[in-house]
Formats: sequence, structure tokens, C-alpha cells
Amino acid sequence: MAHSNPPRIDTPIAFVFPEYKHRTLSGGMKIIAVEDRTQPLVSINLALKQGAALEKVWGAANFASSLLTKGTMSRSAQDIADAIDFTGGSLNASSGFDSASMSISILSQFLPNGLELLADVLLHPAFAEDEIERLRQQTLVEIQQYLSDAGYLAAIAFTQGMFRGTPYGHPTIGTTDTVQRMSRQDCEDIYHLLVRPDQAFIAAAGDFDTDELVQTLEGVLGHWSASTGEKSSISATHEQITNNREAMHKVMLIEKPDAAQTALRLGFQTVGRENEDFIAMQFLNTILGGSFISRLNHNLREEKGYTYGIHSGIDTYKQATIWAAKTHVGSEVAGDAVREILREIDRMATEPISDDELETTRKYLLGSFALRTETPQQVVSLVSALEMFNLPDDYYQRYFAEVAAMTKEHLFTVQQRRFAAQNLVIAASGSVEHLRSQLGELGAASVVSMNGEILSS
Amino acid sequence: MSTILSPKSPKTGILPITQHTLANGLRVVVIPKFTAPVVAVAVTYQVGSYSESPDNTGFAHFFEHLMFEGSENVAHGMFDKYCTEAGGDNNAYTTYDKTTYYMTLPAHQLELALWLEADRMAAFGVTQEALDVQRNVVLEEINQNVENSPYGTFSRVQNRLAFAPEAGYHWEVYGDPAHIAASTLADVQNFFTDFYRPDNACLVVCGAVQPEAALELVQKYFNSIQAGASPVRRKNFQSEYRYTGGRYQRVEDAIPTNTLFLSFHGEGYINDEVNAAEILSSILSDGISSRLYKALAYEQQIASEINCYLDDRQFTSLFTIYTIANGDGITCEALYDGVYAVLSDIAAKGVTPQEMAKAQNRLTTRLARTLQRANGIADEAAHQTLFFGDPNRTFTLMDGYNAVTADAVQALAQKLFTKENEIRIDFVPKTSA
Repeated sequence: MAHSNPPRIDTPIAFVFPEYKHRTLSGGMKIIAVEDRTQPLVSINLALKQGAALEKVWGAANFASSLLTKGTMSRSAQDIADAIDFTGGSLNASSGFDSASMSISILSQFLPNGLELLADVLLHPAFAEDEIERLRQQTLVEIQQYLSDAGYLAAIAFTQGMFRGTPYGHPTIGTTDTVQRMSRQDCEDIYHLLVRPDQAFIAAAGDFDTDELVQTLEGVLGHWSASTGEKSSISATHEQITNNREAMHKVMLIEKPDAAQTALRLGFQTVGRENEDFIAMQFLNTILGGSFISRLNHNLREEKGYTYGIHSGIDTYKQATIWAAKTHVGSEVAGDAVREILREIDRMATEPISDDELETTRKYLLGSFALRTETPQQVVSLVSALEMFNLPDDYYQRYFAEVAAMTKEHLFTVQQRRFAAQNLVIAASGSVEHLRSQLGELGAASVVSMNGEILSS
Repeated sequence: MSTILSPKSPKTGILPITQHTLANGLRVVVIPKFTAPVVAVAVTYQVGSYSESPDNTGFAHFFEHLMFEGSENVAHGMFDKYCTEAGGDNNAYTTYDKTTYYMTLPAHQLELALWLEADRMAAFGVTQEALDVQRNVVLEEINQNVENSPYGTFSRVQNRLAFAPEAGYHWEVYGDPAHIAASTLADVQNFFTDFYRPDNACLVVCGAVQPEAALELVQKYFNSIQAGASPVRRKNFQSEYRYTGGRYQRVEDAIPTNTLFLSFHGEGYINDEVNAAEILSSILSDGISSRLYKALAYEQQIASEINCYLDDRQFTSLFTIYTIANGDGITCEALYDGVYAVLSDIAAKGVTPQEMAKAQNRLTTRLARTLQRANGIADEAAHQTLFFGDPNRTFTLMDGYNAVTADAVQALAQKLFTKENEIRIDFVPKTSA
């Protein structure tokens, strides 16, 4: 073929962030809006800045959010379902450790009705006893389904190694035990902690005119201003979670009989978005395990064929941040796979990256930024992250500039600071007996039950 | 609010389309879309697991992996590196009937994407070593998604029960791990020669590009690729390949509760029947107000989860319902009776205008979501071009759904939901030894 060299274009890419608007409702609630009239679709996300980390009964935030769409003071669960289902849209409540949300995705012609419905389920939930019983049984079955998944089991073991005894140390869906005794009062308690106008904001994307949208929102949510009592925040501080003595278990195993593969999770706590090393950590993670051509994927998939894939990422919580790698590997190579991952982490801590890695990663992070802002939903979710984590408006611009100026020397100081001598947690699901023989030399292993209890050390 | 009526029939947005067929038979479609500075490139080959022989299954999917492992001018490992350096993402997927490779990049990098796709369409360059590693990767993929995953063997069991081996739908896309383990470099080369040729493919470019300029670049890189020597080998599908008479199997799996899978034979996506089938599926299981969810999960509370989807392939489809028992005491038999009561009711009494409008709104929403992304448009346009010869259908799919009448939905329910036509699989918790 005549064209033997790739047609590369190395022109530096300029930072362009799609246009978005800020508005405020009369009650003080902020609105972030991204208009895009090309398809007749609107997504509205009412975000709340607290989540399951505040719950006293494990699973309460998840349980209460699911109940919001199951009946209000004036509508039954089937009324709500009929109304939203007819539009072809979806109305969902969800919750994580540090946030919760009520969102709607709907054809724009139905938007006013959708917003009225969203406000009703958010502000006037009935928490009816028959719906509680219905949801209880479904959640119990759902937990059992989760527990038959190898990756989920590894996540339980990993969470216990990382966060045991802290507000992040339990499954957000709860356990069989906590769901069995979930009461209406538990739901109301967490509802009142989370659903407050002083910790809510709205992110809107799609086919609307922002001024009209604000007017409609004013009509359904403008009067919502009566937060009572003090805002709550989780009791544990960043330091307490990071230095949590209970989380010193290194190797965590969880039984999954007859497993053809071992699900693995390895990670350590690291610095958060507010830290000056954070963007460098994102850069380094891209090299280590954050992209398809990463060191970990190259080593474990492309060279060794141990796995279909391995990926690592940085998970940010309000009071903690973790770097973690996840993969499924053949059971017979579980030990070899862990040793290779540890070797790659160690290499990251001790050797500077290559010039080629620096340039490839820089180009990827700058170039792919356009792909992260293709749809209005993507744009609004990036802007929402700023609001959620109290980051400055020019955060992405700074990110872009820092990536553009990144040097090997600077990265190496971060590598030494952030990858050396970390308190690693290594979690695996599979036959515990087999895993003990595969991972024996890493030190004493703790065995975790499906309920997250430490069975033996 | 349950009484609101649609003020107007919802429409998805439309974009202009340029199409052109190169001398070597490659069909090219360009769709400019300037909402974001990105471009998506999709190359779809009309080959899937359906094209495989019964003693060499899983090959189309395995081959998809090998297409990333090197070609004439792209050394092993470089495909993803070039794409990554350009700020792009790429992947591929294989179905029964097609294999699609897609890439999304900043719009000014279009030329690189075309060069990469042209190079691997022109000449295959996989080494024995790369083949051996990818064989392990694919076997681990099957391990992860089939052997080690709850319900992972469903598709394997379903296809064996539903179709004769001659059909090409008798095995799932992953195929038999033993066949993959035994594959050789010669098998691979033959497969490439047979199916990876410009006259068996469609290339779509969608994004912030001018059609003339994009077409010029396509010609620069793809014009020189040789067409195949003889027509592409195609299998003939015959309706006798569908096993009927009521098929049943019980499977023990590492799952906590009884689960019923019920499928019914229907026409493939080349037949308009699928439009009515999508509407029927939506009425049965989309949302809490849907027929199946309301009856089994909400009122009777025998199901914790219930869903319905159309597994549509080119020549045939399986209208599939699955439902998970809401606790230990509920048998697959009870789920089966519950599902059948709902299906029989629709067959006997039909559906309401309200339900028709609701399903049409749901399908419009789904389509609009797909068409928001350049990648979604490119993928759909390649499909429409290969199987219908018309990329414009990408933006008129909704017309097909809107043309379906309530009578047609009822007639379809009567045709599909018979014991003669069903394939039933009971997944039950494994009793530990």
C-alpha cells in the first residue's frame, strides 16, 4: 500500500468547553443548564450533596430513594408509573455514599408534566407500608443476586479492607439483616437528612430554552426553601478515614465456590481533587491502568493473556480518595497476576516514565477532552462535579493547562510521593483455599463473609 | 397526569446524508454533524457467528480481536497507540450477523482513523505469537462472561434448543471454547480472505466534517483495496431451521433464586414484523405500569424482576422474556403460569390506544438517545446500509413504529405466544453436593 506512514496531526489542541448557563431560583437553588436542540430530549438531574455515608441503618438511603417514586400524598405508585411511562421517559432516584439524586429523562414535549411529577415525588413521598414491604422483598432478592457475582464479592472484601469501621465501610444496598429490619422511620430519618434545598442543585441538559425552564422550575420548586435543623455531614474526617486502624488488613479473601476465575481488586488510599498532586495522579493512572494501552493491560492482557482486561481508576469520595485496579483472571494464574500488578505499582514508585509515555498520555488527555463533552448530558455532568466537590469554575481549564505543561521530572516526584509504601489492600473472590495457596507469600489473609464480617485472620 | 395525550407525534432530529459506492464495492456514507468537534468512524463487515461452520464456532468474534493485532503498516500494538495519541477511543463488537469496528476522535484526526481502517481492511498481518496471546484473552473473556457469570450459559443453551445446526444460529456468538483453542493461523487467513473485503463492508463517517472533504479522504485510502474475487458466501435461512414443538431445558446454576427464560420464534429484522414486536415488548415490560411488571412484580409479587426484549437477527428473532422469582418458595412453574396469563390476555383482548402511544413514546426516546452521539448514528447508518441498502432509514425508523396498529400487535401476540412456538429454560439454584 502506498500510504505506509500514519497521517499524524500534532497541532496542539486548544481548550474549548461547551457553553453552559448558571441560574438561581428565588429560593436560592442553583441551576446549571446546557441547551442542545438537535434531538427532542431533556435530562434533568436534581442533585443532593449528601448520601449513604450519613445513614445509621445500612441501605437506608438506597431504600428510601427507591420509595420516593412509589407514592406521594396525592399519587399512588401506579399513578406515578402510568404518568411517567406514558411519556416514554424515566424518573429515577438514586444514591451513592456522598450524593443522591432524582432525575428525569424525557421527550421535551412532556417536560412541564415531568417536572411537576419530579417535584411531587421529591417533596411529598408517602413511604406507604405496603410499598415498604414490596420493596423489602425485592431488595432482599436483589442482594442475593449481587452476591452471586464474583466481581461484587471482591468489591465487598475490598471495601472491608479499605474502609471497615468508617462511613464508607458498608454496601450501599445494605445487608440482608439491615434490609429485613428497615422501618418507615429509618426511611424518613435519612430522607430528612438528604432532601434539603440548601444542599440541592439542578443540572439540566437538552432540548429547552433556559429561561423557560427556569420559569417552570420556579413554579414547581421555587417555594421549596424550608430546611429545618442543621445540615449534617459525616462525622469521620479525611484523616480519620485515611488513618483508620481497622483498615490495616492487607489481603482480603471471600469465598466463591466453583469459580472458574478469580475476581481481583487492588488499591490504596491517595490524595483527592483538592490536592495539588491530583491531576498528576490522573495522568499517572492513565499510564498505569487507565487506558487500553496502559502498562497493566499491556502486561496482563496483551503479553500474558491472563485476562480479558484490567483497568484502574481513581474513585473520589468527599472524605477519601482511592486508586484501585480491577480485573478477572484465570484462577490458576491469580498469584502471578497479583505479583505482576504489584511489580507495576513498584515500577511506578521507583522509575521515571518514558518520554514516549509522557507525550502519548498528554496527547490522549488533551485530545480526548472533546469526546468527554460530546453530548449535553456529558457537559452538564462535568459542570455538576464542580458544584458537588466545591471546585472552581475554571477547574477544567486548569486541568487542561496542567496536562499541557506536565513534565517527567514533576511526575517523578509525584510517583515517589504517591506510589511508594502505600497501604495496599488486595482483595480476591474465589476458592479461599486455592487463593491462600496462590497468594500465601503476601502475608496473612483475612477471610470476609458475604455480610462483610471478618471470619478469620 | 395519566390522562395527558400527546400534543404532537414526537419526532427525532434528521441530518443530511451523502452516500457513495467505491469501485471495489465499499459502501461509504458521510453524515455531517457539527454539535461537537468530534468525528465517529464505523466500519461494519457483514459477517458474524451466523457465517461460521458448526465445527469452527466463535471464530467471527475471535477474529474481531485479531483485527487489532497488526496489519501491513501498523505493527503489533500500534493500532491502539496511534488512536490513543490522537485522543481517540475505539472498540468493536460482534453479533450473529455483523462485526462492527468503531472509533471516535477529535474531528481533525479523521484522516488517521481512515488510514488505520484502510490498512487493516487491505492486508492482514497477525503473527503466530499474537494469535496465541489473543486466544488466551478470548478464552478468559468467555470464562468471565459465560462460565463464571450468573446466567452466563443462557445464550448457549437457548440457541441449541431453538435452532438446527445448519441455521448458523445454533451456537452463541462466543462459540465453543474448544474450537477457539484449536484455531490456526491458516483458519484466520482464510476467514479474512472470505469476509474482510470492501464489497462486504460499509464505512460511515459522522461528525464535524465536510462531506466532500471526508469523501476525498476515504477515496485516498480505500480506493486501492482489492475487491473479493468471487461473491461472498452466504447461508440460506429456512424456516425449518427453527426447532418448534415446545422446547424445554432445566439448567442448574450458581444463582440464588429460580429464574424463567421464555422465548418465542419470530421473523428477523429484515421483516417489518419486528416493528410490531418492539411495540409489544415495550407494552409488556417497559416500566412499572407495563403488563408483565404490574401483574407479576407489583400485584402478585411472585417476580422480583421481569423483562422482555427482542433478540432480533437478520433472518429470525427470539422474543424473549425473563423473570426472577421474588423469593425461595416460588417455582419456575408459577412464573410460567403468571407470564402466560398476561400473554394470553393480550392475545385475546389486544392492547389499548394509550398503550400504543406509550410504546411509541418510549421507542422515540430510545432512538433520540442513540442519535445524540456521532457514534450512535454511525453504527445505525452502517447497519441500515448493509442490510437495507438505505442509510436514510437511520432517521426514519420511528415511522416504522408509528405505522404499527393495535390490531397488528394483537395479531402478532396471537402468532407468537403458543406452546408450539416456545423455548423454555428454567434456571434453578445449584444444589451443592
